[in-house]
Amino acid sequence: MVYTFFKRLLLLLCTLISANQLFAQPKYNLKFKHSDVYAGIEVGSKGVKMSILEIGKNAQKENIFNILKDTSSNTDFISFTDPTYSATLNSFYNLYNTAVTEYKIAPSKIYTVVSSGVKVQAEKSDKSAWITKLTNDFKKKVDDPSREVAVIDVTDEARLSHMGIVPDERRYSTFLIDIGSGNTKGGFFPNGDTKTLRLFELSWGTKSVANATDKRSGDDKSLATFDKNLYRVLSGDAKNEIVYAVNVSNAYNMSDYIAFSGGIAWSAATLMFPELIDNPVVPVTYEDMVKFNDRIMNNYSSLSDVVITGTLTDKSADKDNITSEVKRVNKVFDQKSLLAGTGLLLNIMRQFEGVYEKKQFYLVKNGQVGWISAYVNQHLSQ
Amino acid sequence: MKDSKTLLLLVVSLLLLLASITLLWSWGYQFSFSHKQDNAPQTVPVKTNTRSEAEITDSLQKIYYATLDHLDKTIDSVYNHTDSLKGNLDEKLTDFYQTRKQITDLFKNKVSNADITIANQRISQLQQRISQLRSSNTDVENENKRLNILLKQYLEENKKNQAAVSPLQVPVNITATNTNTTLQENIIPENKPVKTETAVTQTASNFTAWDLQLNAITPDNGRETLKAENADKLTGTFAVKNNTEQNSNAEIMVVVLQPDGKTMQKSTWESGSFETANGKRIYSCKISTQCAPGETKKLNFWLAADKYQKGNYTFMLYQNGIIIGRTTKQLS
Repeated sequence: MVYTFFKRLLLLLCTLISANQLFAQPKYNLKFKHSDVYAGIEVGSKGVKMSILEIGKNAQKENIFNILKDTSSNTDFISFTDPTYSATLNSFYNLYNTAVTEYKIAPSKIYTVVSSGVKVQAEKSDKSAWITKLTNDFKKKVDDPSREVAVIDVTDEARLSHMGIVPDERRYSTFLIDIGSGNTKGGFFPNGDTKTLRLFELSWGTKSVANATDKRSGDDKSLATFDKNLYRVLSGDAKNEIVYAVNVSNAYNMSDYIAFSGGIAWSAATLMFPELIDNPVVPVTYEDMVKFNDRIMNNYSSLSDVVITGTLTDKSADKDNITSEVKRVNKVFDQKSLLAGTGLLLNIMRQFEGVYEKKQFYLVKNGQVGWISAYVNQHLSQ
Repeated sequence: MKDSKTLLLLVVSLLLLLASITLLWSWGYQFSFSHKQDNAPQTVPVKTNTRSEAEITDSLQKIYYATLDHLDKTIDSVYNHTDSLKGNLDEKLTDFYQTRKQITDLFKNKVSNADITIANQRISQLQQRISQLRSSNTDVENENKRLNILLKQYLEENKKNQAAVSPLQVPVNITATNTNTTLQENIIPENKPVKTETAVTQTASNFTAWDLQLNAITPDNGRETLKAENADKLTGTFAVKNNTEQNSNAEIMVVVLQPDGKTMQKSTWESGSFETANGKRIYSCKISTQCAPGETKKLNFWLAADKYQKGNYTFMLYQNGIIIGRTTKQLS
């Protein structure tokens, strides 16, 4: 009798523990008092990316996001071949499934979009039908015909990025520039409302500058030759395009703050200001950036995780976090890519270095998910 | 015999006649040639002024050498006294040497009218450069005098201040108005030697700060609270004074350390890091101010956090990477 009772009690306990494990929210390191967790899944040019975000208000009552998880898979959708299509669809579905089952996020809090890069490339290659097919197949696969899979255009993406990254009180005084690998885009709101965005575009990005420099260097792969040719690349067509684009945008007269996002902004911020590892945005000066560029060229070893954490004086700094982030930067950007990126960044910054009026520059670390947070906010307010 | 004598006399007389004709021809030729030279207009140099070429060259040379002599006397002192103006001076000296070389070259070569005009121009340029060098020298000397006076005043003030503060007192630039202010509390290791910081402040920072106050405010009625759970904002006030004799734009870095040692930040767009003698430090917010010489300004700021920890909050002010004030506030 007692034995049967204990047996049933044990069974009940096991069931309760299993149920708890099954339905419990995964433990997130939440930053804000009042916030919710959302997922954004984006089909981009390179692949499919999922970001789990905590979106809420900070103590200053600003809308703010905190990245809880960031994952991606390279599927090369813009090749528009059957294998890359299948890989993209499977990856899209798997990430959605992970968000629902593993991260316990309700489908209503999962936002699915196709990025502007895919849209532009599909229009160029006359493959827009592939996007429609992908979104339809995805809806069938997740068995949710009413699901919205929005296809974002360049202007929308730039506007959403601005709204997701820049706080409201600086909305109309900040020029946001996203330096990508293949191009640079951004903009600002000239009319004091968010309806009109003055778009800024350059055909140069970190990778395209590095590639052009490599091409100029020929067989000589030495760093000195790379540096010499980088100067030539940035003094030639790139410079003309930058000067023209900045002048035409009228951003100098209309903006007090110039914020840079993109991979090079993230890597420079991480390596230059490791003590501000928890800050998604860091202030920087033109002189700081010149010094950093010189450090990459002449003292590259000082940018290793060991040296950076070894020179930290702030005892409250999270050394483990800094080490892993610096390692990640050094994995993504080698010495030449860093030189190319900072060279391009300096060339753009120079256009805003007036003799009488200086602008405040910022480096934004998590720019890539800024637009998703704005997209979520936009839907929540609707 | 008689015939041979007559023949000899005839030959001699013929020779004499020939010699006289030659002499007459040569005199005539010389006379007519010199006459032609005198009358020919193209061969006569046009005198543009009353002085001869030699005279002009000599006078130019005199001015040139006089200018050089004068310059030699002043040039060493110019070099010795240059400091901030050295870059400018080097340029001017290079110009001067270039002009001097050009003039010397002109004197070496055969002199023409055009050369004389150029030489005149060059000499006036040289004189201009010398007057510029002289005025630069005067500027440097005046600046040196001014700095010497300032240094003396500063050293005297320093002596007075040191005499006024006993070793156990709070440093002069920190007037602790908060009852919780103790310099031993919550002092992070890099700022341990408070006396040293004060000494550095007195010699390196242009500003002094005092009357530092940090208060926790409740959300409903904005009253001050000493309880962490009731706090909504931290507000800070302080006074700064410009100790220089010039208008100064200053960036005052406000650092508020939480009980766990982490810096409280106003927002990620308003915080950042700055260099101190002990390495980089994160600031809570930055306040820019413009002060006239000797002017005192009262400044304030506020910070907000999601959660307030219990314990001591350390409020510090930095200018030019040097600490100029500190106080603490305890929340229970």
